[in-house]
Amino acid sequence: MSERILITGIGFILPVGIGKEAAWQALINGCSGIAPIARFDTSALNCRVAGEVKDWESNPLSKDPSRFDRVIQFALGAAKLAIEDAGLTSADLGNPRTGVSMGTGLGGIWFAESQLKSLYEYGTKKVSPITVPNVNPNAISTQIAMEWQCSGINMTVCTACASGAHAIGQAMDAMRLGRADIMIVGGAEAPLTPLSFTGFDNMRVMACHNGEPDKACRPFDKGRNGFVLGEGAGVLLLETESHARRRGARAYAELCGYGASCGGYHLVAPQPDGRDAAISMERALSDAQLNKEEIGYINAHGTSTKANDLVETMAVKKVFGEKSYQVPLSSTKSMTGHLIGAAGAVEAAITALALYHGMLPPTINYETPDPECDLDYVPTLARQVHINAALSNSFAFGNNNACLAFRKAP
Amino acid sequence: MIIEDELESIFEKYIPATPYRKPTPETLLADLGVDSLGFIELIADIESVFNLNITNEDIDKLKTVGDVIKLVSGRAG
Repeated sequence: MSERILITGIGFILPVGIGKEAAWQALINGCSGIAPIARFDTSALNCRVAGEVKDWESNPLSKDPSRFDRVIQFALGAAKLAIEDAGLTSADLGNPRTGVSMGTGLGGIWFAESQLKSLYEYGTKKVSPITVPNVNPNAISTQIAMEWQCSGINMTVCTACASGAHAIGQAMDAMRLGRADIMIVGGAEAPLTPLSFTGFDNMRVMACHNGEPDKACRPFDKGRNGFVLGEGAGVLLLETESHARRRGARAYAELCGYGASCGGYHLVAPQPDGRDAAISMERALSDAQLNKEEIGYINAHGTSTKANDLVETMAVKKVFGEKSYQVPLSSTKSMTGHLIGAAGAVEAAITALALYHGMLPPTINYETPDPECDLDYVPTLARQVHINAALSNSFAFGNNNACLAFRKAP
Repeated sequence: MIIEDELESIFEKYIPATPYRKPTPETLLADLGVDSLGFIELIADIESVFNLNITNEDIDKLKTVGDVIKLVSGRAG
């Protein structure tokens, strides 16, 4: 029998707030982090809003922004907050039993863009020698290991919008196999750059509600017309139960199941009947040895695109059948925006906090019901509940699906 | 003097801020507290600011801050 894995620390750098407490309060109060983009010119684009992280540069771990991509800064900053939240120090982490598993979809894309510009405008001499170590997605897990001298497993998972969830699932598996006592896990993304933003815009997958930015992201609502990009990071401290008990650590929840699947269907569109997404949920339930009846909340992938929200609703119905109508699910992307490779990790942490506080964050902007999306999406207002188990869904471009299962902390 | 000043501000960018130890011509490059990657960035900055080419063979011969000043003074302008 492998050890139970507990979540003992959480760190957020989000468009809705920095730090676990500020972000959680914003989420249960239904505050949107979406606003017009200030950082670059969007006047020629269809979508001109996003979830930008504000007042971030004051963080003590911020490194020279001309030398280290924003994605690295977010990863380090959220890791620091999670480590402090867990009451751990460098002395506890600097050993081969501590690992790092992070997710990112685009890695250091701003650095890549800026160096391409230098290359084509000024020639080869103007390309920074630290281009590769900034653009490599694994820069984020490496930099965390360097900062706290974590010499165990180290990896970065790159599976688009499911990266953070896969990173957590893979870390849990490694811990169950006895390969680590502590894993610093999570996801970071800094996609608000001209190239990446324009790429999403030209794919026509982003919301066009520029006049009312805080209403742009409206998961499951009939008027939804695309997702809203966000930036930031979420980091969690995973700890084996025995390690956590030895030091008397507080646990937010137990991470108890992981299910992964792939539709093998399309680069960006979900499989129309949601069967591959359903498989990831079934697998997470079975891995966690949870009955469907025990699930009291699902943190939905809920991107606010026509296709995702419809297919996710169908997938939930496939798994939960008649009981689907009794399982509340909410999309916190309605407030944070879609943090791509960080989304799964941010939402795993939110799900753990929902179990810890007995409080479900709402789906904001759910105003007009869509007859095809007819489940309980926890509209507008947070809800106090007594629940013992929950799921968090991440369904990525490329049909890369991951579902994580959680129990109330023992 | 201008070359020395410009070089000092480049070195300053890469030398750890705390505790900052102002380099002198005698300071060994190995004692600057700059890692190998940072040192390559520093060389790239010097090449860019002074518009000159520093080869791997040049780098192998650089032992002190004074060696860098001498190399740049000999080639710049």
